[in-house]
Amino acid sequence: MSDPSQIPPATIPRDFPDWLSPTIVKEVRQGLRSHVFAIAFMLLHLLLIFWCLGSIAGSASDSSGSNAVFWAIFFVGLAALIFRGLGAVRSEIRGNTLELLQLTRQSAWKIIFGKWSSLLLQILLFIASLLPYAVLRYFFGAIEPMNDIFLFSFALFFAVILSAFVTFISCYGIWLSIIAGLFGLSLLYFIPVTLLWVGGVSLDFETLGQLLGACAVLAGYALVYAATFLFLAAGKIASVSDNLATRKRLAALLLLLPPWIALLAEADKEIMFSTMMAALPAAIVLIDAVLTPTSPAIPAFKPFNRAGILGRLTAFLLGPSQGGGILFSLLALALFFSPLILQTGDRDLFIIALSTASTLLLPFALTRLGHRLFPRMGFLGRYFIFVLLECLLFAVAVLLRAMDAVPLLAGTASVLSYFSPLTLLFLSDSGSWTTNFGISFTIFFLVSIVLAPFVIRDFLAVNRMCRGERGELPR
Amino acid sequence: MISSDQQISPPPLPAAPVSDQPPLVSVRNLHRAFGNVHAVRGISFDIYPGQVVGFIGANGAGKTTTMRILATLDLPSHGSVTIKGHDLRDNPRAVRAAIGWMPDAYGAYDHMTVLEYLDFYARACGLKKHQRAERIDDVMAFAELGPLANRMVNKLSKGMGQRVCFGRMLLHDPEFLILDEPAAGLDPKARIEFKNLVRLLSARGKTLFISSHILSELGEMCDSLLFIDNGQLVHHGSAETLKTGTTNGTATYCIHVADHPEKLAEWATVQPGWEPLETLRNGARLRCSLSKPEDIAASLRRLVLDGHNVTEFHREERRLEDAFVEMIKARK
Repeated sequence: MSDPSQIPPATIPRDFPDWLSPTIVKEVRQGLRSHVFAIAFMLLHLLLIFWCLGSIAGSASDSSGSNAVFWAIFFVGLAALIFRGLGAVRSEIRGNTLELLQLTRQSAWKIIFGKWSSLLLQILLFIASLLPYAVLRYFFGAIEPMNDIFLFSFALFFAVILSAFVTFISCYGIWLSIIAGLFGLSLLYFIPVTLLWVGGVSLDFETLGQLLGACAVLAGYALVYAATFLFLAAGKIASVSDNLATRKRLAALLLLLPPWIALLAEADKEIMFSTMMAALPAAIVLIDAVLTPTSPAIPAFKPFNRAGILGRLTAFLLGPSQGGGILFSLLALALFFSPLILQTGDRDLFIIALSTASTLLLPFALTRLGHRLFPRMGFLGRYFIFVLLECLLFAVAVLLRAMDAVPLLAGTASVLSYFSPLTLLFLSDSGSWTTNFGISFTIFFLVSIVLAPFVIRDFLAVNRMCRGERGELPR
Repeated sequence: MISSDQQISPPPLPAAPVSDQPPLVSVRNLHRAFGNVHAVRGISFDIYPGQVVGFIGANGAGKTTTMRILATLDLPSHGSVTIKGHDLRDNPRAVRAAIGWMPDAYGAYDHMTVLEYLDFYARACGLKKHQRAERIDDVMAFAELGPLANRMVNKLSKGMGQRVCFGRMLLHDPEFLILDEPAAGLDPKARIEFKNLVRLLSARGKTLFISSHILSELGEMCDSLLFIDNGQLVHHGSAETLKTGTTNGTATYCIHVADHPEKLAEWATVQPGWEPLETLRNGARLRCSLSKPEDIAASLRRLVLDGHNVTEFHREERRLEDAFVEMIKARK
């Protein structure tokens, strides 16, 4: 078209160094030009200036109310900023740019980490810009410096977790985002309470050691949660040869570690329970492990072969294998329930553990058995139809319980449980422990019988792929 | 090459090699199913370095699915695809380094200039300072993006956007370019610019794989055409093969004579292998079932010896659209 020598060379932007992630560079450049962010930022400061003037005009006795207003503005602003991240990956999908980005040398992890980092940078900017107002509060009185440090740290770590969570959610469609957004809002309440329990602290810090201990617990959990959500997000957009399964599953195992530490430290039951609650986000990894098909790419498995037979077993359990994902989820559930069983010796926990495992795997088993029922649907569609069936039957069980009809319908528990294993927990008082354990074990056994051939064929395929041979994956 | 009148039953044979070099792209028995819907059903073909290959098919024929698989954006249900010797399932990263992908809808960002857009993708491709500057300059000059450098990328016209997309695709200097419906929605001027860009890229030794609905344009630009219908390959050959090719083993000839054009039809009815189709003002169109050149030459000799003053004798070229429609009809 043109002779390149006749056109003066364009001056490429030199505003950011080469080592900085291209995604961060792009997001910051776009962010600086976006009027929405600038206007919202100015409005927030205007609001805080009014708050300052109001506080100066008010009496010293109003300082607690003034404090509450400050924290309300702070947390609402923070939440609004975090939930802006819901469009992080979706905007790329909608704009047909994610695929273009995937074709560059940016790995899925780099893309996701860049998106999250830029969101976190904006959050840090927000928190930093609010610090002068926080300092001003000391002139209005009734401020506890230790509590303030903790609340700011808490806000930061909480923002780290939620921003990673919204980045993960932004990889999915709008409806799933709404559902998950509601789940995220429940985290707003759930995670802080749990973390405070885990730290065994209240907001009345007496020593610096207490404060640092609480902050360390928060930081530790924030990092593992954030890593888990970011690995899940990267796994959603990664190509088949990228193995993110190992990182996801290791992060889940890390979340399952604190209950064991609590057991070894002979901590009381409350601490044990709170560490178990804090491990619940690992459930997302378990569901992901069960639902993600085995990668057909040899490079995803080959590195494991260096460790021989042990490496190949690890590849199956921790690599991108669906059969291995089933075994991993069972192992993780065993790790989850064992500390509490060992601490309390409660036999009912065996029934709960078996029913939880069956609840997760029964839809998979039904999907394999009933693929003729919904032939036009793929694996995921059929799986979720059976999950819906489980939920409906669970709702029936709740209704029966609410209507006090359990004694009359003692047999219903066992029948419903075969289709929705968690139902057994709701109606368990209708039978003896032996009966209920028998039912839960039978369901688990039947599910295992259906899934065993799939898991074995998957293992054989993974074993071959570890050795660099093409394996025939089970369909 | 496989001629147009050959019906291909899956898995079809790859086209014969057109060069001594190994194929840059090798597709073997490619299948892609979405649940029970089979979008691609066992297609096989080779693309050699430097070729410009057109990919033609009706909506839903499996074009975009095939192209997305070649671009490593989707996986085959069965079969294999190797690009530059790398299997795209086993080494998508190496494949991605060798390909440039231009989707039908070019992706633009808000609040970003053309220069920043190219800089972002150059960074994403791992290009460092000087190398990045050189590549950006090169592609901007190639796609004539200089005057657009400081324009917002999401405010460009379709044609300008397409040129930016071309530039983006070339940043990492790929060997194999995949263009999905690149001419869709372009005005005539932008279409000419697009054709020029394709010619220039071909001259630079790039291998191009282009899908389009505008068959005549593909015929002009491409060395080879692939027709896909209902997920199966129905033709792999040059545009010339199609234009001069036969339908049901016959070809149409147009003969002009200086006088008595009506006698041409009479002559054709008594000649073996010839059949009148239409009498023209100065000649006739005749259908010929003879395939050997010496038989056709003998017919022409007889025509002259029988007293017809022949002023023109030529085999009619089919339009690519007609060839495509005939081929689809023949399959049904």
